Amino acid sequence: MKNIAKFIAVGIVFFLSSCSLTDLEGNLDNPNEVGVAALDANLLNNKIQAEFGDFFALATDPSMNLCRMTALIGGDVYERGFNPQDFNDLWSRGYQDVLISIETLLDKTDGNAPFALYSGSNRVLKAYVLLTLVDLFGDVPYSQALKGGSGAANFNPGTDAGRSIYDASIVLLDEAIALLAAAPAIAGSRDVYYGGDKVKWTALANTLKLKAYMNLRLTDTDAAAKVADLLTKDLIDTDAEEFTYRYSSATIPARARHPLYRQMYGTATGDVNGYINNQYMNICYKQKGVEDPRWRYYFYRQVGSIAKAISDEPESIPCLISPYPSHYPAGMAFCAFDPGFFGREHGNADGIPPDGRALTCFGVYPAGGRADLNDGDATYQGLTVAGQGASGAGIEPIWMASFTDFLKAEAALTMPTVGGDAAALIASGISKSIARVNAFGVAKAQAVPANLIADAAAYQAAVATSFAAGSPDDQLNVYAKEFYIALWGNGIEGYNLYRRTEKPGRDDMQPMRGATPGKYIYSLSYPSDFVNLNSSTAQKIPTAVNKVFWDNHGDNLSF
Amino acid sequence: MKRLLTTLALVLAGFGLALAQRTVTGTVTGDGDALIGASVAVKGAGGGARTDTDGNYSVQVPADATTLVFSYTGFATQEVTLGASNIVDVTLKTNTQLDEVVVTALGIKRDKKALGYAATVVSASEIAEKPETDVARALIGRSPGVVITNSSGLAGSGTKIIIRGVSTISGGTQPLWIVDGVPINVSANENNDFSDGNITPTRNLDLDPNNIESISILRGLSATTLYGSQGRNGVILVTTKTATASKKRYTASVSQSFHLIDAFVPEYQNKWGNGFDGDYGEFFSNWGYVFDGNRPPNNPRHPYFEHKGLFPEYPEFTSAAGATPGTAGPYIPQAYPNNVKDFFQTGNSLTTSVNAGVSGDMGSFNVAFNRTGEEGYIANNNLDRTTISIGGIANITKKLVFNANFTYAKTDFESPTVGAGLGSNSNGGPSVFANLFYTPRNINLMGWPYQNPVTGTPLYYRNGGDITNPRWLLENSRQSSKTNRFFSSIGANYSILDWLKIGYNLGIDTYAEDQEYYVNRGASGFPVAVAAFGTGLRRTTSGANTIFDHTIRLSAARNLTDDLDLSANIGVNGRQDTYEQQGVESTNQVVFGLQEHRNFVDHNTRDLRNNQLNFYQRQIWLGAFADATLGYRNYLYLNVQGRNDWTSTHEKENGSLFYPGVSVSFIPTQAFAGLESNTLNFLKLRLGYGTSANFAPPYSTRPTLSLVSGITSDILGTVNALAFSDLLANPDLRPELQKELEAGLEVRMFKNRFGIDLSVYDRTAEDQIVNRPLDPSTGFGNTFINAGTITNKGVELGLSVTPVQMKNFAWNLRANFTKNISLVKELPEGSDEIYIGGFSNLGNFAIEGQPYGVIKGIATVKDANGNAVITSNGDYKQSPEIEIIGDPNPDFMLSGFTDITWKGFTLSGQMDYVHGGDIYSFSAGALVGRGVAKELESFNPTLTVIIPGVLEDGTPNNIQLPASGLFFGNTIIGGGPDDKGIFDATRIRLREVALAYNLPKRFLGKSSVQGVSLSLVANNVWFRAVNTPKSSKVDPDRTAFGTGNGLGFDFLGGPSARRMGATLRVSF
Repeated sequence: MKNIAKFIAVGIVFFLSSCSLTDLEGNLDNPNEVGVAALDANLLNNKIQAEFGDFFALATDPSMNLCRMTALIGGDVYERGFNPQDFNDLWSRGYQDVLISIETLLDKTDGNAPFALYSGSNRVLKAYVLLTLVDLFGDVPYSQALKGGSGAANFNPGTDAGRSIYDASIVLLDEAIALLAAAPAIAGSRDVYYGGDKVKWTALANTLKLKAYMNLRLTDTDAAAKVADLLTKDLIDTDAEEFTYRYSSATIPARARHPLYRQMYGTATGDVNGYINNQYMNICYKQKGVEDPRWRYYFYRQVGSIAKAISDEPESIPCLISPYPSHYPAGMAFCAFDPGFFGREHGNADGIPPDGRALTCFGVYPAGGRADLNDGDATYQGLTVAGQGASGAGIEPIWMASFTDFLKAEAALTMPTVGGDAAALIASGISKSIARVNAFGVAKAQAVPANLIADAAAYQAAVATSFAAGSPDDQLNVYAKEFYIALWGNGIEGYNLYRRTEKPGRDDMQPMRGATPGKYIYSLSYPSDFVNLNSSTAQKIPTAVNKVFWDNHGDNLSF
Repeated sequence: MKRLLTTLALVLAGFGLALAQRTVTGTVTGDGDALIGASVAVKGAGGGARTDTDGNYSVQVPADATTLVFSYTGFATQEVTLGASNIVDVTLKTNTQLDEVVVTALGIKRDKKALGYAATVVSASEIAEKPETDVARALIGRSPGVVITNSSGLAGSGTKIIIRGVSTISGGTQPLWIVDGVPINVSANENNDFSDGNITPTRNLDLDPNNIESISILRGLSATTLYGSQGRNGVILVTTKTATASKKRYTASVSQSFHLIDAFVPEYQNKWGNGFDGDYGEFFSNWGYVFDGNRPPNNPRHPYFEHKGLFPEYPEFTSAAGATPGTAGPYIPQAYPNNVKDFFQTGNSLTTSVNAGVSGDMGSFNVAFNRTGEEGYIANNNLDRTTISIGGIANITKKLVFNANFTYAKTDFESPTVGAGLGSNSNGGPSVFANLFYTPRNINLMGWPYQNPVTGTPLYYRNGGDITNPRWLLENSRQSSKTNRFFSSIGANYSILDWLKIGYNLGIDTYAEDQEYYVNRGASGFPVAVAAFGTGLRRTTSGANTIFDHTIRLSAARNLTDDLDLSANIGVNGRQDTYEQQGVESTNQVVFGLQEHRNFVDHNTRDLRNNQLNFYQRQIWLGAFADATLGYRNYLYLNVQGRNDWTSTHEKENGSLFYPGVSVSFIPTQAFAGLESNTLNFLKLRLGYGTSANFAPPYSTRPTLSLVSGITSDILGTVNALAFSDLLANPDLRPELQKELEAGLEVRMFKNRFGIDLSVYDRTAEDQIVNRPLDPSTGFGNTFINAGTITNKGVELGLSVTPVQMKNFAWNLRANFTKNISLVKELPEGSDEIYIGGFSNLGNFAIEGQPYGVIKGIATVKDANGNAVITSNGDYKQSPEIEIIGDPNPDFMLSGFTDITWKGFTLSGQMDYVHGGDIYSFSAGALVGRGVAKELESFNPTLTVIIPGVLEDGTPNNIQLPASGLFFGNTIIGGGPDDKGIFDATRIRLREVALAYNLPKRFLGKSSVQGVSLSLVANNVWFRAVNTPKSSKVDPDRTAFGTGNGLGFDFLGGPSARRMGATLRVSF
């Protein structure tokens, strides 16, 4: 029996000693991550700022398709232009990365005076995200959102009316302005937008209120008074105040470089993805008879002529043998045009020909690519590849100084009680835009020699002439087209402008490639993650006119 | 010590000494050999003996005893009435199945007739020396209720096993593998998104099929309760040869196999070439100019014209225009009919296997060695495996037995990278197959260069360079793993009393797996988000997985009365799993070709999808279990069992769960005298109720922050960030309980020549632990919650018939039938559906009231009469939201086996049939959509077509489309509705044909050679998914998600393979 006991004892010792099997509770905390107690405001603020930049990038991308800056190629009818899952990243970046992080940070900083700058600046970013979500999608979750982790967890937040989210955003901006007024600097803070300058953050808050009221002007009779009041405040009207996310040329992680740059400056030479809308290039090149001083910064042509593209690869531009679409108005760009511009039509869902070496690419502004320095050499060929130009160290032009002048011009044209000299404001906007774009190219070592840049004065004169000669409707068109050109890279304001003013008009905006494209996309379909994972909502009917709350126009953009 | 034990034995035996006794001796033989260790029992009295190494025994028999009972595993038990003689020699007859012994949970051996649940035994001959090197694939069709799929026909790629349907919405579905009584890890340690790579081996690959003695497949919960939560998906119990004592004193065998491996390559049209709408052009698609010997009207150049300067040895490249290949002149496209076929090679597999063992009074000792070298059907796909096993049983005394079994396995696997292709480049990382299958007919893939001789980067026909040449990827991309594994089972058993034993078993399974994934600089054709693949990428990880498993068990077996016997077990079990991984990913290769981290500019501890490559994970289970079987007169058995688990993955108040089981087995043919006859030999009814648990994955209950150093780099420099993790912690998470009711019937008739083994089951998994993806507007990405109910009901039927049974000729037929009906009964609050796998807009979902895993995607809009609605542009009108477009679950599955034995020859075969189920196939979609499928041969691509359907106003569609507008623009490749990619997955397959010849013993004479056999085997000989386009060779047995929960998708992965060859085996 002694042996048996010994045997059992040895067994039990083996059992208990060979590993800490009984330590069940010691394994609940994830050893790979830091605990909640380690929450650091500066590191959280860094997260918000980086993800906010990406949120803008994801939001501007479909918006540029819709305001016909870049080509919509998902389908030949609007209902097939996008798939709901195309917006999943935008949705999760907005809510799951930016907004929840702002909530977490505000919990920590609100009522904590040394961190007032974070309480203020993050309210501004939160308002921007909310306004953008409403502008793109219409009604979205707000009051029930971000409650996954709270006591009464809500995994199926319902939507709030767009108007109420606008109102809440304006309240947030007002709170931000108050908080920023007395905010001290924060030690160890890193601010890619304004370097911790509370005055600039305040200017941004005022400007965002102006942006919101300009959308509200269609449906809200109080908007004019609010706009008039805001014009007396400090707005973003100098380059130093501009609101941009600034990328770097770092190769890792990939998102460090401008996303438009990554599309068109690939690892393989001439491996270009995506298309610029042909008519947008036409407008920005010399539609007015005089060259736009910005186009060499906006676009980069890989070939000096269409003939060069064809000689390089005969099948690269198959649409050259297609007939000019009968439903296109005269003067509309189609397929490709010399010298060497080649993009795609709005709503051309055809297969992708071997056109990567022929396509016109994003230039230095704002994508951080190359400036177009080809001085009329029709045989020029310079294919894009990663590392060229500013190596992707571009900007997201979220709000440039020129944009404010344009909004002021629109106020003058549309709100008599606000007033102002529209022509002068447009001219100011154009000159700020030209100067900024030029300065950007210079700063990125992509300067265009003076002899290649069109004369800004001649350009201004051409605009002024057509403005002066036009009817009020024409003047609105002139205004909108100049804003549209200055907006390059910012589809969000382009899409808002287009829906708010229905300008530029049909002579300027390229129709869909097919003659019967269905209803225009007046707001984006809901992301599939939202519709499929949240029981409180259903998808919009894509063939219907799904307008956001501030848009009171008829169905005039469905072409 | 020996003396002490002897004394003890004498004392215990002392009670019997008073009675008169005699000694009976003799020899036990069976199958022509002396049987070692056969049991000799005196009926109606205690005591008994075992035969020695020569088959001799000696037993003390009380004067009043009349009968001796001889038994031996694998042979029929035989009773011999004692006469006057003290010498009784017995020859046992080989097993008639009636006394089949089944290894059940915890290695407890049971009479099959006592089992109240289904168990299938697969013998060595069904697994060993097969062309498939992965033992899991050799099990296909062998048991009803078990569905086995694979990720591709590539050597070493993973295998997925589902037993009795999927009972979890998002948890693991793979069964537990137990080798010689201890658990081993069989995961695929995926370090890739399925879009980047889906061929990671499952680690059951480390098992040597030739060292397997038998496999028991336990399917139901009543069979697996004792294994705890790990056994809830079924248990595959492997007994190795090295852990088994041989019947003979010496055994040895050598076998040598050689098999050839061939891919099932699609068939192609060769009538027209690259282009669109009848015009020649360098498109992805093949809707171009007809090969009529003329120059296409748009005067194209040679597809490699832009590379002409690099290759003066190919003068035809220079021609904007060459008349015939090889000369300069107008370029005239011509077909290269074998351009895809020749991409594949005939692979081969060479296996050498040696087993040897001795067995005697003191115990036994066995060694096994196996070496498998396999070259897949494409270049650089190789598998190399060496296993060495040593096992022994030491009978220290008659009461104390030690056993140990050690296996070392070294498995090296490599393959060019295979990711998910959606018919237009890869959806993720580079994939050697993504663009291969629709190579335009006039592209001489195998005859033209694929690499820039100066820079090393890929070359191909697309001018923009946006397709990476598949041949370049063969040479310049790799996914590999190198595994060093050691697993062992060590046990000690002590017989305290005749009927009472205590045993301790320690299992250690540890492996180090070094994985490598790389692509050299210059590849292209990925989504912009993962463009870093193009800069050259190298990812290496080292994972160490360790399982420690301890079990102490007290077991009793005794007759309580003449009629009643009891066998019972009580014990404790502790298991700890740890996995630790270190890894780094480098991008931006400096010098082309060199794959060393130092040759890259950027290094990161996360991969390009931001997944951490370095982490540690530990999980502990403690269990206490008890099990008792009460047998009444050998015809009624009642089994009661239960286990309580404590786990490290739940908060303390939720960390414990008890789960019981009960089953009954009743054998009328033994209960009622006269019922058993030559017509009805055996009848058994069984009923079981079993439960099992499921525990949360580690670290699901406590919130953490997610620290990302270097989340990005902006104009100010590197950004370090901290935020809440996407996972919402749930401190209230409870374990999940699964329940199953199972009933069965076993019948044998007509002198055992006809048999039925039928099971029906009803399994419910309630209040599941679900990884619920959250709408990001909640602020989080996902959380674990208790919710949802899935039921699986099914029928499993095994049939066997022996139509002919003669002295030299026998013909056996067997069939296994499986039907499982899955139903998602209930989902968590507020969610209509939960996304399981694939893409959120095209994937598998759990939806209330639907079978598990239905496929949702964009559907074609139909009018009230079922006609497709056509848009004003002549295309299918598409549903605004995703809808259910398919159900991947088959209606039923049937496997049939036949073997015919004539003298030394055995001809055997296996056919599998799967009825119903759907597959979303990019293989079919891409071959048709890109215009290369053979079915299109008779079609003229320049004609226009009108899609059958009605316009929105209800009138018949009259809008003409170019051929490409229908076949490309309205298929899944060109943006058409997803339901156009759904095919019925009904398939029939000739799984195996084998011819074996055993040399008759008389030819061997008196040499030491005991047997020589030669077998010829062909595996996966032929298959046809009858409702898919024939030429595309769609194989729905492939799964694009590895062991993930998604099913029914084919993303242009590796094709299936046919394997055939021969094995020569000599035993001594």
